[in-house]
Amino acid sequence: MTATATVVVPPKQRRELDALRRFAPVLVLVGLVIGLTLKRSDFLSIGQQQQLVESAAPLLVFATGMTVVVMCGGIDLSIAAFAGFASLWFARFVPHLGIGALVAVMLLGAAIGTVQGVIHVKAQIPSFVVTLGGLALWAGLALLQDKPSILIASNSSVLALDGRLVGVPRLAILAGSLALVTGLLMWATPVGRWVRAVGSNETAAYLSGVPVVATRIAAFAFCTMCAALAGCMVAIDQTNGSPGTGRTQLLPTVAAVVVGGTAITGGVGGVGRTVVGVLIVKVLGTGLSIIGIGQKWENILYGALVIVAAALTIDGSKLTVVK
Amino acid sequence: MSAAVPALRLEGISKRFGAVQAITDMTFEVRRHEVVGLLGENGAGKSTLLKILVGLVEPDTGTMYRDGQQVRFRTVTAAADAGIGMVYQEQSLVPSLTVAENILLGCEGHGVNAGVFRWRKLRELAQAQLDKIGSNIPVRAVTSQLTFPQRQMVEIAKVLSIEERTAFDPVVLLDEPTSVLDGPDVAVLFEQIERLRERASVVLVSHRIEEVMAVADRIYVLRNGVVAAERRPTETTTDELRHLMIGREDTGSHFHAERQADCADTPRLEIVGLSSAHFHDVNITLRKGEVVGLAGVQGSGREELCRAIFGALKVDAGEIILDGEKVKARSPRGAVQVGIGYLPAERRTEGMIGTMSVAENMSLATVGTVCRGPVLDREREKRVVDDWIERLRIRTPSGSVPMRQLSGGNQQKVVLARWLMSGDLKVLLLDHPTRGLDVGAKSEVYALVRDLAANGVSLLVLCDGLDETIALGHRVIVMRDGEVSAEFAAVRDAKPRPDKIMEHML
Repeated sequence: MTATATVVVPPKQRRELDALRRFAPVLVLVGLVIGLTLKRSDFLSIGQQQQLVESAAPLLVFATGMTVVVMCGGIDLSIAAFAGFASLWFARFVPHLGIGALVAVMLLGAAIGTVQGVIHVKAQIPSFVVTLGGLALWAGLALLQDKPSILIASNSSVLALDGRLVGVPRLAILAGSLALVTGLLMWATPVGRWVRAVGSNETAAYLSGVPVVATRIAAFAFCTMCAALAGCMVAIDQTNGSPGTGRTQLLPTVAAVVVGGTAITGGVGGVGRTVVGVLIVKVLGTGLSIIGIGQKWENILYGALVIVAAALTIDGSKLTVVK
Repeated sequence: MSAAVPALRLEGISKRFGAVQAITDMTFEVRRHEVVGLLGENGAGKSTLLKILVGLVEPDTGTMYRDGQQVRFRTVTAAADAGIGMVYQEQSLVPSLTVAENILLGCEGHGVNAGVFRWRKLRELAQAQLDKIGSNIPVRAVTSQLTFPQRQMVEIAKVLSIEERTAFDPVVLLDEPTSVLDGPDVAVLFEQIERLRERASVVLVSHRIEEVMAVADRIYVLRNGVVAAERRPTETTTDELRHLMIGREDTGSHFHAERQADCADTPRLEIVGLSSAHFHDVNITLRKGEVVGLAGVQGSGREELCRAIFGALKVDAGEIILDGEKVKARSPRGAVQVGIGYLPAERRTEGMIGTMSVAENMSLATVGTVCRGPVLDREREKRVVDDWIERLRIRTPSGSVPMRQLSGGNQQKVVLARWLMSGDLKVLLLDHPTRGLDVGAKSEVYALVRDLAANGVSLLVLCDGLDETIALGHRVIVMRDGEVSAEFAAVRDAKPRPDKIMEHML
């Protein structure tokens, strides 16, 4: 096979477009920061940055879990509702378990995520349907509490997590570490490959001996565990657990994942990209108030962002019918 | 029939897909009210020809004439407007709709008024189509509740509805219509073809030579993308047609017969009484270092057997024994862990992951061997992958290039390397390993198969052509209708004649 077999290299334009797609999120982020600094010179001040990073922490935790599920080719719509549910149980456990309550609620999350994952994979129900049901279920169960919210006592040990370590919010360090460890796992172990293989071509992955079922279920377990942690973080920040905790976070989470450059169709993406996506979403949110447009516009912006970013990252050649 | 302008004529048609020349300078004619039979092995160019006729594929060169006028079909609709329609092998009806809806799907005409179904009119129009073929299938029936032959009749009625769109007498293409029918149903279908002849021309594609002999007025035999012969049933025999299909090419050096090593007598893989929905009570033993060619037509169950051995298809009964031990874990992952590999026929959709790199694709099944503890050792992986890239002469700038950027032959080598990389590979199942490859790439795949066998790996190989099966295997096993119908041992010393093998396939 000398003359006939040639390496098909995509035309230059295509490669440039690929590179642009890959680095576009970073460029957008840098552009946003420059623009906002010009508009308001103290945007880069330490106080502003601390605030931004602090408020980004739960979103980063949500989005890290979601990234893994989306890369597998699924989606988890139940995360925000489950975070509310988890925050209540967290607040309830704290008096008895102290910091152990965090671990307990995360384990609960992992277990619930496993159940959702098993239903999705074994009963072959699309993940958005299973988790849409989950969304209503957890939101409803959270409301069954007799109290609208449960306070975390001000002398409780868990509130120590709310402080700062050399100027950096502790919760942000926690969120950053989670993202870092997840990113490392995806890069340095076979799990990351399995996730991408399952998301790109599940049949080929299955026929190569990749543990397809286990990978998918683990992704959902991890995602719900992250949602539980995010719920606890918000509860610590607000010193109470309530059904409404994290309620508004589903849309920004999906926005952060796709804006960062993870394809909503699966297979392509990464936690690193999601970190950039989270920052874009948060800087945009801050930007809105800086330019003087109210919070009312936030949802409109995220909605538009999700659609545009998904369109830009989808590999259209892969799909015949989109459901 | 003689001097009249043919209903359809193709002159000098050629079509190339990437490295594969599917059809070369073919001239083909369908006369008015004639039944034309089309015979050929897999890969002979039958499906490409059909696709060109119905506008699914545009030929690279050549001209097409419809009733003497030059035409060019860019779409299926264009072909339908010229009165050409196809009854597909896998049926194309929507199961949840009624017969009437299916027949008029996409061309409801007067059956729809301002976007709303006029049910009575719709049923009348559909009934008119069914009347053409004298069928008594109720138009109100839901399609999923019909039997397979009934659905086929509905398809034929549906295709005939193109009559109303055009001034031409229709040309109806039947792609393997009898492959899933039993005797009596075949007879009904043939009556139908006789009836069709009164109003249309028919092109009938089939594996079954006798059937084509029985109904066709004229038969084309295709081989390697050219018309190998044109015969009338009265002036030929099934034997001659069979010979024409297989050809007498030199099976030549590209099979690397000189590399064929003797295989040991030790059994390696024993398949005992394996049964599923697609095959029944299959018993096959592969010896250590043996290459067994598995022959059979579509529907013989040989593809499914491969998948079942690999654990990707559920079996109802039977055992798989590897080196004397029963294989318990029935999943691809379990199979990989005991040393069984499988190369699927559909490389793009089942074999490779286009967005991932060459290296990642190659190490996908045996990723454990390039890990240190739980962590990927990228240095080691690169060494191993680069080694295989060199040994198999895979043309790629590096191992980190996305898989989809390689040519088909090189992709296939990467997918093969996935199994070669594993040090303890014992059995390799190859489902059409050379599909879509050019001659050079095929030759390299054959060489690999020989080398693997010489190293003690047992291989079960499904090939497109019989010459390939015979040249490659130590033994040839034939399957028909889900059962092993024949076995030809000691292929090297006494090569079985392709027509003898084919007798047991059909």
